[in-house]
Amino acid sequence: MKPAEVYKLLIDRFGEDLILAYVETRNPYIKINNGYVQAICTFLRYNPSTKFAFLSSISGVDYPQRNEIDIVYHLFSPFLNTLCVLKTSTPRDLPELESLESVWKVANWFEREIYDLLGVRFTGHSNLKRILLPDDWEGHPLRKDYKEKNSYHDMETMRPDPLKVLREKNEKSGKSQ
Amino acid sequence: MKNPAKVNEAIRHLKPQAAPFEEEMSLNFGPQHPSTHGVLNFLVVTDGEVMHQALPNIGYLHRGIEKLAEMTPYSGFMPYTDRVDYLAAMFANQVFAMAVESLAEIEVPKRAEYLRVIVCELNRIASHFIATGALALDLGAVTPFVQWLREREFINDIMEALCGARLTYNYMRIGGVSVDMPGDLPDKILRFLDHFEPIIDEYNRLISNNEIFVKRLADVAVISPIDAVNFGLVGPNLRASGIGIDLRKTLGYSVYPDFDFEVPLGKGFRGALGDAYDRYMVRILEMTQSCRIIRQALEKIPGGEYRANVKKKLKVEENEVYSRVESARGEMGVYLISDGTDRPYRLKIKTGSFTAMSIVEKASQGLMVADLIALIGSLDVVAPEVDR
Amino acid sequence: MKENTTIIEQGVIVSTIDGVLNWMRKSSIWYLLFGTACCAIELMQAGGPRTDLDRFGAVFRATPRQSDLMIVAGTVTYKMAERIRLLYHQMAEPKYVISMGSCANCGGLFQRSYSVLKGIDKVVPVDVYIAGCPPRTEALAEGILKIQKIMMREKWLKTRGTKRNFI
Repeated sequence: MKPAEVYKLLIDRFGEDLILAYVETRNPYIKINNGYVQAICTFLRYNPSTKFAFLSSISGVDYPQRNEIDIVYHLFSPFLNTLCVLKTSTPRDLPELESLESVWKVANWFEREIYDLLGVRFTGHSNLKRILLPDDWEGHPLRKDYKEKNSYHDMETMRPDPLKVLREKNEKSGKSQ
Repeated sequence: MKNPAKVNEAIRHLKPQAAPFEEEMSLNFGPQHPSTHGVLNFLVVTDGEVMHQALPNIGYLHRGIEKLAEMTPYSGFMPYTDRVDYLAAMFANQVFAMAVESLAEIEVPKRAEYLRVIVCELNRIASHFIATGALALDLGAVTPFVQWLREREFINDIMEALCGARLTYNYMRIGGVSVDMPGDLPDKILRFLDHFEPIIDEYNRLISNNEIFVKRLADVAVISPIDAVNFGLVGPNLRASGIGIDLRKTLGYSVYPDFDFEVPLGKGFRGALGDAYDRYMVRILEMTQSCRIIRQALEKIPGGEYRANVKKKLKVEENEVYSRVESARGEMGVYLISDGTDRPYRLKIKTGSFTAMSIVEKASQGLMVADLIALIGSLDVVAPEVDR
Repeated sequence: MKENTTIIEQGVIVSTIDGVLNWMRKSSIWYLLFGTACCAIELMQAGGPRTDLDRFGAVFRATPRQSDLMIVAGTVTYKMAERIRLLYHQMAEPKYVISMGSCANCGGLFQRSYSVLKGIDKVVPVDVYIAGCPPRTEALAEGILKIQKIMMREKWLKTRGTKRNFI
């Protein structure tokens, strides 16, 4: 079963309000409504004709121009030997999505990582807190407009350019002589 | 006593006033600890010898490689991929190269694909050395680890002769590999294989069949096939639970369909299916298969170019791809979005260790504290792959 | 030790107390096993059969309280840096630090990253820097020899271990 057929199956089951588009490129993906991620994934996982048993990854992509964050789900079915790519977007100012933890346990950590690095909140998540960065970190680094702070606790985050330091030192010593 | 419930029972008789898990204490395990495979931290909730739970706390090696990718040109990102998984750097090289090649529609010469397979399989052996050796070291057996370090030096020598680096190879390029094999390298590799294959049996006599070692691993931290799928385990950890998914066979990427090899599965060698011993044994068996692949590849390797002609300042049109390889630690994926410039718009690296770590919380429930080491060691997690 | 030592016949050696103490210290450097990233694998290989740091009396210890030398091998993130400082303070004086690899020296390849500390000298004092990404095991062995040299130069009795004496 090819991704196009998966799309047809989804359209038959959920209709065009939930399954928004099928983008045909060399690596096609299916765009879905952001409110029904859980239902669609549950269907794909347990339907005997698809059996997408593995959640391969969840990634988040920041698009400041259209003020949205895209969340991309890669599902893998060894039964069909097919990769299914689901895409959904959520507004950048208040990003919120359903958690997939009840469908795949592994989604727990993937979603925590996206919450940590992009600041997307997942409703129904059992333990939504930072996973990679310290708990008191400010900001979400994978957003395109993230700016690094000058210091973290009492540690400087910048190192002076060694060539510049050397040049200044040489100039100083040259003057004193 | 392998059954945690029985252990609990025993403790209850020793301390009649305290029911199990009534007086909990939390212990910090790591991040600086010799047996946690890099900087990992666990919060161990225990009431003595039996763990209520071990909560992994990761991120001590989070280097922001995904953000760095957005600042680096495609060709310049290759050295970073080495550091995603330093024990098996070739796979990260390959998965990134494959992603960019797929986006830019670059045809890789056959010889380069064969060279990639040879170095990847050598790297798989080297990585399993650390995985199986460190597991034995963690459980208190020092000799096997030192023996594997000795063997690993031979592979390091081969890699050094090939690309000049011992650990972070930076060998692959977009469209091929950086240099061709020197003329005497095939002989060197064959000599290593001839020397190494009997050593696997020697190693099995030394440690794999050692009664103490087996007792420490068999029936410990059993992961059922359902859990393995649910928690997204990949690679040897998944195959130890009896699910035969190997991307080399399933996807047949690169030139792997040309070779004849088997995918070892866990079948409860000394205890239950999917226990720590199965995960250990699957890796040992995989090494033999890797040797087989290398021998075939050295026999079949065609002549010709080793790198396609690729522009140094590569610009890739707006597109996206998710490419995957079977790394030493299972499925490794790169999700790459290009936007027409010379650097990626977004690059996400999916690794096997990340998902393997997430199962610790569940699999550690009711284990003895000492068995936590067996669990982590047998899952073969590597800190940079978890944190990236 | 050579310059202050006289060898008299019939097995008698005359030397300064400093010299003897330093000689004993340098011959049993126990290092804290502290691998944070890629360099840790080379650190492990250095303890292995070929380079064999044991020749210099250097063996690894798992706890900071038993070690004289901290080899920071690999990238240090901000989350880890606070632990490094803690571990450094847990070590008993006199203590030494080797910064192994570019990442520990200055951030190295990850200098532009938001979460990586740009050089561990911002957190703990460093005695020897080893360049490389990762440095070869031979380079680490030379770093250990450099630490031994520093140890031999110290006036241990004068400072009583409270202050390090660099010449």
